[in-house]
Amino acid sequence: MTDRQPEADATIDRLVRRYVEHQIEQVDAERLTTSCPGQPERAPLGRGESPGPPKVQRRP
Amino acid sequence: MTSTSPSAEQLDAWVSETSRRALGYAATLVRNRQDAEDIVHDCYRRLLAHSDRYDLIRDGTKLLFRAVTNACINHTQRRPAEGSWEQLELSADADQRAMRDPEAAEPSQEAMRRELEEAVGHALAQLPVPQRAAIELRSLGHSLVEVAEMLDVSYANARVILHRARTTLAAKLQPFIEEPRP
Repeated sequence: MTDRQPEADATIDRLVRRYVEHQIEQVDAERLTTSCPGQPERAPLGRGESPGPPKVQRRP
Repeated sequence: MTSTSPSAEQLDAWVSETSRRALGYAATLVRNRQDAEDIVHDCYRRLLAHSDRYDLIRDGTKLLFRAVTNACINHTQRRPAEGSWEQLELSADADQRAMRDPEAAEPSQEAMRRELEEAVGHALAQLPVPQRAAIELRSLGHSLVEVAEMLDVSYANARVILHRARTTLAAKLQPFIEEPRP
């Protein structure tokens, strides 16, 4: 398990990081607050006081 | 148990900081954006329901990624990913691509970058989910100790899982990463 070149591992890690970061860039976090067509409306992630970043409903 | 519970504003900020990353990570694991949203939403809800028990400001990101990882592994074990990797990417890029002129000549570097990215996506998709999770978590900057915690395996096992992932990816991506011989 130790015969691999660290450079090769670093190259693989860099490719995966670039890929994952690109996927993350494509994510629209605001969709977390929306409901999905054809599905029951999901409770908003938040206290529902203001639009914007995802909000989280805390239990009383 | 924490001495002082974080304020709602602090929790909101924490969610804002982590949600895109968590959702992108989950989407790459389950290969279905809608399922990823459901999983991440549920993980946030469960964590925040116990925000008095955990120090989410300090440990929340680690706890969140651990919960998302486990939920994604459980999800894929229950039901194989329905959408193909291409569908995930196409749906995400649909608007951007629609804006482009399909007849326009694409710079070769952009074409190569896209080809490489597709190859990485295909290679990742063929890994068992724990291996995919391990290498993606490492690529996101988590230490091997954290990866072991998130996968709920020993440090030694995490090393083996990561090694297998890298070996498989290296073999599949060899044409893209091999240096041209002089």
